[in-house]
Amino acid sequence: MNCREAIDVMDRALDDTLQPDLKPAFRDHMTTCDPCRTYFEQLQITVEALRGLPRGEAKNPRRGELLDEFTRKPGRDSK
Amino acid sequence: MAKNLWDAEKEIVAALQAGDETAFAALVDDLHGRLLALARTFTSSPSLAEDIVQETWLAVIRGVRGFEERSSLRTWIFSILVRRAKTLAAREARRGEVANPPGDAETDSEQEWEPGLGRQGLWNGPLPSWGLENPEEVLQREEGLRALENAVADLPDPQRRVVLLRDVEDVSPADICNILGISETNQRVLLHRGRARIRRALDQFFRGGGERSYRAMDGATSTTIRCEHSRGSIESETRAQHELP
Repeated sequence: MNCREAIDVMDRALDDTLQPDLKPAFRDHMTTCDPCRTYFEQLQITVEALRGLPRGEAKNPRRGELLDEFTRKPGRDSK
Repeated sequence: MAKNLWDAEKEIVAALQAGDETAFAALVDDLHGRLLALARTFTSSPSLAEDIVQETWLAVIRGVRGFEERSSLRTWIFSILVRRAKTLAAREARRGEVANPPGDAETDSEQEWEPGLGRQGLWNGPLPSWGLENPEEVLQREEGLRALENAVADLPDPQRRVVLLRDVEDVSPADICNILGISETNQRVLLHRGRARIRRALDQFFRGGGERSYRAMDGATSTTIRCEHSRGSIESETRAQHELP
């Protein structure tokens, strides 16, 4: 597998959806190619960081309105 | 709280369908900010985004008793939001108000590479490492967190939508395609471009773009590296690095 091919499938490798028959070649390329490996590792770090982003906290000024509407909904006991 | 909330999804759905107000309030509190973030990928107007989210919640209230759990509750709510967003944003656009029109037109011509097309060129040399011990270091520093949040906010809307749903909300690719009404290929391209742009922003940050800089692995003084953004290619960034004394 050359750099071009490795980069072509890097997004699948990131999400662990790489076809099984390509995995050995990809792993091998990561072992032998420093720039590709560094790039791949940085993408991995990026994805991990995104997954760890604190959840957006936001006040909902119309929260009370929603709770009222939820409570008011007819037929809530009919299911 | 978020993780625990979604682990008990069946119980949450049952509670909502039984009219449990506490459960509904917890759901609203947990999801509101995140729904706003998604709504903001459909409009630049904060008030329209609030309207989109409010209408989403009202639709959830109307529909939850008929919810049959064919998808997850979260996926269902995101789907409702996207439908409302597209409708409301289109309506505002017709009125001539400032709003991003819905649709997945990829306006971002800057790309590192696209799956299936390979790279335009090969590496010029080694890629500078960020020198991190582990990924958590990105978020442990205030500046790193800001850099990441800014990078996400700077993404073109179609890319930000997919990155939010996939990497921040952990929605499956298949569900994302259904929620956004896009193909698997389109989803893959948008996701990769979004991640690549964020990687590039983090790269600038770690190599001296931030207020406090990380020292490069070779001990050289960190310098802000002016990356060529015309193509956003790795070659440009690597070449710039090699031009440093």
